[in-house]
Amino acid sequence: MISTPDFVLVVVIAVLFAGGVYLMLERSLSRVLIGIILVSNGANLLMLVVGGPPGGAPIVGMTPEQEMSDPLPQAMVLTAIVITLGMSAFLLAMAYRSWQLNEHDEVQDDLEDRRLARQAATDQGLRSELGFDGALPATLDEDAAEARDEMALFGEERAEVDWE
Amino acid sequence: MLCSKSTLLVLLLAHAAAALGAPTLVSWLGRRAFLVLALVPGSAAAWALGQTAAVTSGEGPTMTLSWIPALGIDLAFRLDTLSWLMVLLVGGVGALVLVYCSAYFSPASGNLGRFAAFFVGFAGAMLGLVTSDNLVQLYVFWELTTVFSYLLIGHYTTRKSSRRAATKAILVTTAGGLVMLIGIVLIGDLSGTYSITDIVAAPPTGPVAVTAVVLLLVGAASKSALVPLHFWLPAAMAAPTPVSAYLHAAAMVKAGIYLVARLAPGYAGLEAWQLMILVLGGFSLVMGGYQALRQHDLKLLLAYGTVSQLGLLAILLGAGSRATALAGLALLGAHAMFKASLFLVVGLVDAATGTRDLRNLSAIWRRLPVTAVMAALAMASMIGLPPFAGFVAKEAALESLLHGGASPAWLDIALLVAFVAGSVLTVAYGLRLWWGAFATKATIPEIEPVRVIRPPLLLLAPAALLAVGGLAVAVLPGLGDQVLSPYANTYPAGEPGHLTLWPGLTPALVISLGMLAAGVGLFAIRDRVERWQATHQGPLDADNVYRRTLRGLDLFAADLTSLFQRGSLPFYLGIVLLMVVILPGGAMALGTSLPDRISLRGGVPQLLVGALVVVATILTVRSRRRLKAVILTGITGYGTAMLFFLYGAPDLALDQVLVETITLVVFVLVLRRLPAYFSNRPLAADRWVRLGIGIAVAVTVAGFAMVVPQARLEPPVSAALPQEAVAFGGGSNVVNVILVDVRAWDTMGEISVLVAAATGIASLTFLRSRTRDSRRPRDHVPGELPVLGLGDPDPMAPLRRPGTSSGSRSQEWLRGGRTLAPQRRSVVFEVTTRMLYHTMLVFAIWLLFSGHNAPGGGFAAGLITGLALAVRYLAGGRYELAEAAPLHPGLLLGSGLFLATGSGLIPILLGGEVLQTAIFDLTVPLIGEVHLITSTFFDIGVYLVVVGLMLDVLRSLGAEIDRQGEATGHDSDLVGPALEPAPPLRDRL
Amino acid sequence: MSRGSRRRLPWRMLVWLTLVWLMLWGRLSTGTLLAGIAIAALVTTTLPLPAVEFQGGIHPFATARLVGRFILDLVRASIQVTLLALNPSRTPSGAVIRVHLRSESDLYLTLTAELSTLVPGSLVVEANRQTGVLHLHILDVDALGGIEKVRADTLGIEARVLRALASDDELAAAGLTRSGRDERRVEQT
Repeated sequence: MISTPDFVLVVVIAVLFAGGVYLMLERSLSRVLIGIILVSNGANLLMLVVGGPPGGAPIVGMTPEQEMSDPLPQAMVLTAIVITLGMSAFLLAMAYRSWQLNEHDEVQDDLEDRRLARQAATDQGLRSELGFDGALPATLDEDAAEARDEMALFGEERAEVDWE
Repeated sequence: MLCSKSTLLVLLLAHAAAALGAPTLVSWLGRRAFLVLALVPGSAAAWALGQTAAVTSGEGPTMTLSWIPALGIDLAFRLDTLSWLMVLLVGGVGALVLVYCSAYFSPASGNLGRFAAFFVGFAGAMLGLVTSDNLVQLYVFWELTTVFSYLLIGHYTTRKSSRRAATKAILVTTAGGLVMLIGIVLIGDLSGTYSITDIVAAPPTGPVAVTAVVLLLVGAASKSALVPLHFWLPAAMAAPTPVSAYLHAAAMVKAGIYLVARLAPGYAGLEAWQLMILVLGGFSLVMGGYQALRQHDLKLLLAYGTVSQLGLLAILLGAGSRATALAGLALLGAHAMFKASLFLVVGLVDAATGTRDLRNLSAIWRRLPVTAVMAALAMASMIGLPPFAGFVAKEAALESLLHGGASPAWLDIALLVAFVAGSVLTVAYGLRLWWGAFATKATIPEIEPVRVIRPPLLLLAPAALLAVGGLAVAVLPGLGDQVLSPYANTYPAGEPGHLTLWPGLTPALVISLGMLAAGVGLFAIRDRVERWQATHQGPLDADNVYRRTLRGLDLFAADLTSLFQRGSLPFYLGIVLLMVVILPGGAMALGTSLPDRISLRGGVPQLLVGALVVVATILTVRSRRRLKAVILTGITGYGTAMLFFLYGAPDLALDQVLVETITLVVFVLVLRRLPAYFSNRPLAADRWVRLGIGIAVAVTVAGFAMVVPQARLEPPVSAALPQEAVAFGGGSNVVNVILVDVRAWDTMGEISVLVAAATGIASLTFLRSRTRDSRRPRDHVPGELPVLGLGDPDPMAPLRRPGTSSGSRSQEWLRGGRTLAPQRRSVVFEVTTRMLYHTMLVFAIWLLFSGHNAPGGGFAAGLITGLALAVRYLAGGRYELAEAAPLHPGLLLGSGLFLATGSGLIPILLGGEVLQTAIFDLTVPLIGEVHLITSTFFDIGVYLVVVGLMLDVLRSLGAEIDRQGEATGHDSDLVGPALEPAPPLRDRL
Repeated sequence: MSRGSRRRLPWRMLVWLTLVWLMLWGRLSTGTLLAGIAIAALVTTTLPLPAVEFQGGIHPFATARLVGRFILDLVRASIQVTLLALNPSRTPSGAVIRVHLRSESDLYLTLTAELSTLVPGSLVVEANRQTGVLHLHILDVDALGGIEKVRADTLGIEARVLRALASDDELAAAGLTRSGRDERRVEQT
C-alpha cells in the first residue's frame, strides 16, 4: 500500500508552490491571481501524489482493477479544477472593477483594520466599550440602584387596576 | 398510566406553544395575558397534585421515547417524589408569579410580549429538567433554562447594568454547564447508560467516576450559586422582580440542588462528595448570610439570603442520611414558598414606594399593613419560627445532624457548626429585612403618603398565598412526612427521619431557641455589625476575580488585535502561510522521517514535462508583463494536465486543458483593459521575505508529498469503488460515478459555488442591469447597430483595397459579423466558427453522455460548450454572443441547480436515499436496450451550471467590458505599449 | 437572409453531425443513429446559424488528392523548418507575400488560408474577403524556391480545394477545370 513518492513530481509541486506563494504575497491582484493558479496546480498535483501511486485510467474495462490509479482523489481534484476556474474568473472581475475604480488593480490596506489596530494598541474606546471606564465597573449597589422595573404605580394608574 | 404519561409531553408542548404564542397574546390582551398564561404552569402543578397518590406509592408515571439509540440517549421522563415536589414548585410558583406580573408591570411597559414568552419558555424548560430521567436530556433542559435566564436578566436591553448582569450569569452558568457535560459524558461512558435511575441504582466507581461526580457538582454549584460561583446571583437582581422571585429564588437556582439530591443516593458516600458538599454548602451558608447582613437594597439582601439558603439545602440534601434528606426536601419546599413570597413583597414595596433601599424606607407597615403581615409570615418561616414550615424543616435538620451516624463524625460536626452559624445569621438578616422594609425608623423621613396606596388584590394575593402556604403545610407535618419520605428513604444510610410540628423539649429545640436568641441579638447590634463589616472587607471577592479575569481577557485580546490586525492582505496571507510551515510543517519535521528512497519511475516523458513546468513557473514569476505572465501560467497549466494524464487521470487532464484554455481567454479579455505591465514596485527587502516564505512553504509541501504517501495504514477506501461503480452507479468511469453518485453532495456544493461565482462576476461587472443591451443583431433594423471599432487606427488598411462584392462574397457567416468594423473582422475565423460551432456542441453532448463510461462528463461538456460560445464571441463580437445564447445565464444556472437537486430527489420517490442512483433498463422498439441512469440528469444539471458560468463570464468580462469601452471611448484592444502599431507592411512587400 | 431560408433544413450539416456522433461513439446501431439524428436536429434547430449557400459537392478523387498533397506538404515543410531551426548559421529570408486568389467564395478562401497556415513555415496574417487576397508570412522564402514559387503553391492549394468541393460553375468562374490540365497559368499581381 505504501508508495514511494515520485521525485520529479515532488520537485514540480515545490516549484509551483514557491512561485505561487511568492506571487500571492504581492499586491497586484492579477499577480495574486496568477499565484493562486500556480498554487492550485501544485495543490492538485500534491493531492494526486499523496492519494496513491500512479496507474491506469480508473475506467472499468479499460484498465484492470489492480492497475488503476486511485479514483477518489481524482474526483476531488476535478472539483477543485473547476472551482479554480470560477474563482479565477471572479478574481479577474474584481481586478477589472478595481482598475475601473482606481486605475490600478492593487490591493490597498484595509483602513478600518488599521484604525482598529491603533485603537487596540492604545486601548482607547475599548475600556468604555467594555464598561471599563474607570478602574473597574460599577459596584453591585450602584447597579442595583439603577435596576428599576417598569412597574404600575398605583396612585397614577388606579383606573387601569380597577378591573380586579 | 398511559394517559398520565402522555400528559407530561402535552404539558411540555403546551409550554412551548404558550411561549410561542405569548407575544401575540400580550398584543391582544395587554398585561392581562399573564393571567391566561398562568394557566399553563398552573396546569403542570395541578397535574402533579393529581399524581400525588401514585407518586407516594412509588408508581409515578414514566415515559421513554427513543431519541438517539446509537448513543444510548433516550427521551426519558419520570415523576418520582423529588420530581413531584419540583414540578409543584415550578408550576405553582410559576403560575402565582405570572398572576403577580399581570398587575405588577405598567401597561405601558415595553417588550412585555417577549418577556412573557421567555418566562413561560423557562417554566417549560424547568418542567422538562426536573422530570428528565436521562442525563443528556437533563443537560439540554439545563442549558435551556440558562439561556432563558440570560434573556430574562437582560430584559432591559438598553441598560448597561442589565446586560452586564446577564452576561455574567450566562458565562458562569454555561461554563459550569460545560464542566457538568464532561462529567455527564464520563459517567455515561462508565456506566454504559445515561439513565439517571440506572446510574444511581448502580453507580460506577473508581477515580474516573469520582472525577465525573466532582465535575457534576461544579455544574450544580454554578447553577445554584454556591460560593465561590455565587456572584452572578446578586448581579442577576437586575432582572425584573418577578424573575428574581421565580428563577432566582424558587426555580432555576434549585436545579443544582435538584441535581445534588438526584445523585446523593448514589454518591453521598464518596469522600470527595462529602468534602465538596461541606465546602460549597458550608461556605455558601455562612458567607451568604454574612453578606446579606450588610446589604441595603432589599433585593440584594434577599439574593445573598438565597445564596445562604441554597448552601443549607446543598448540605442537607447532600449529607447522605435519610433524616437530613427528609429535612432537606421539606426545606426545599418551604424555601421556595417563603423566598418567592418575600421577593414578591419586596417588588410590591418597590412599586408602592419607588425605592428598595432600606435607608429610604420608614413606617411602611402603616401604609401597607396587609403586605407587612404577609412579609412577617414569610420571614417567620425563613428564620424558623414555630409553627411555620421553615421551623419544621430546620428542627428535623437539627435533629438529624445531632444524631448523625450516617456520615463520618467529622462531617456531622462540621455541618452542624455551619448550620448553627448560618441559622443565626439567617435570623439576623431576616429580621433586618422586615425591619428595613416596614419598620418605622426614627432617622428616616416617611415617604410622601401620596405614593403609597393600597396595592391591588392581584399583586398581593400571590405573595399572601405563598406566605400563608408556609403556615398551612406546617400544620400537617404528618402529611409532608408521608409524601416526602419515599424519596428520602432512597438514600442508603441513616435512620428515616420525621417531620413534626412540636417535637417536645428536645436538645434540638433548645439549640433552636438559642439560635433564635443569638440571631435577635445580632440584629439588635446591627449598626455596630454594619460598621464592622464596612471596615473589614474580605480580601478575596469572587466577583472581583471574575471582573479582573474578564478585563484581562479583553485587554489580551486587544493586544493581540493590535499585533495582528494590520489591514494588509499580504501580511495576513504571510501569517497564514507561516502557520502552515510552523504547525503542520513542524509536526512533520519532528514526528516523521523522509522515505529511504524516492522513485523516478515516471520516465522521460514525465521528466520533460516536469522540466517544462518548472521553467515556465520560474519565468512566470520573473515576468513583468501581464500577457507574458498569463501565457506562461497557461503553459504550467497545460504541463500539469500532461502530468495528470501520465499519472493515470485522463478526466483531470481533459478538464485541466479545457479550464486552462478558458482561463487564458478570459484573462486576455480582461487584460485588454489593464496596463500592459505590472506596476513597478521598488526592489524592496520584502521581496526577499516573500521569496523566503515561498520557499519555506514549498519545502514544507514537498515534505508532505514525500512523507504522506508512506503514512498510509489502511487500504484506500476506493478499493471497492470500481465494482460498486458498475453495480450501483451504472457507469464504468469511476471518477464520474464518484462525482455524480458517491460524492454527489460535494458536487452539489461545488455547483452552488459556481452559481455564486457567476453571480458575483456579473454583479461586479454589470454596474446597472444585468439584462440590458443583450439584444441580438436580428432584432435591429440594419444600420441601427453601432459598428465596433470603426474609428480605430487601422494598420492593415493599405492591404484592404475596397473591392466590389459579388457572388458568395455577400455570404453572411455569423450574424454579428457586420457589427464589427472591417479591420476587426477575420473571415477565416468567421467561416471556421460557422463550420465548427455545431460540431463542438455535438462533441460536448457526446462527452456529457459518454462521461459515465469514458473520460468526460458534465464538467468537460460544459467547458467545451463554453469554449464554443467563446469562439463565437471572439469571432463575431458581443452581438454575436447575444445571438449565440439568447438565454439569460441566470436561467441556465438556476435550471441546472434545479435539475441536479431534482434528480437527487427522484430516488427518494423510488424508495432510495437522496442522490442515490437509480438504474432503469428499458427495451425500446427499434432502439433496443436503453440504459437510463438517474445520475445522468444530475450530470446534465452540472453541465447547465457550467455553461451558465461560462456565459456569465463571457457576457461580463467580454461583452460588458466591450460596451463600457465603447461608452467611455477606451476602445482599443490592448491599452498601452503591449501592442505597438506594427511596422508598415508595405515596406516588407 | 430571409426568414424562409433559415427554415430550410440544413441537411448537409445534419448528415455531418450525425456522422460525427456515430464516429464519437464508435459503434453503429439503430439507437445510436436515431439519437445522433435527433441531437443533430436539436442542435441545428434550437441554436441556428445563418444558412450557408453551398453549391458544390464532395468529389472523392479530388478530395483524396487534396488530403494526400497536404500531408506531403506537411512532412516536407516540417523537415525544412526543423533543419532551419537546427542550423544556427543560416539566416532565414522571411517575407510577407500577397496572393490574389481566384475564387469568389469565403469558404474556399478560408480553407486555403487554413491549409497554408497548418503547413509549418507559412502563416496567414491577413485574409481579405472583399478582394480575395491572402497575405502570408513566409519563414524562409529561399528555401521554398522564391516568392513566385510560394505564390504558385498557394494557388495550387486553392485549385485543389476548389476541385475537391466546388461546383462546375464555381470552377469555371475561377478559371479552372475539373481535370486541371488546361488551366491558365497564375496571374501575376
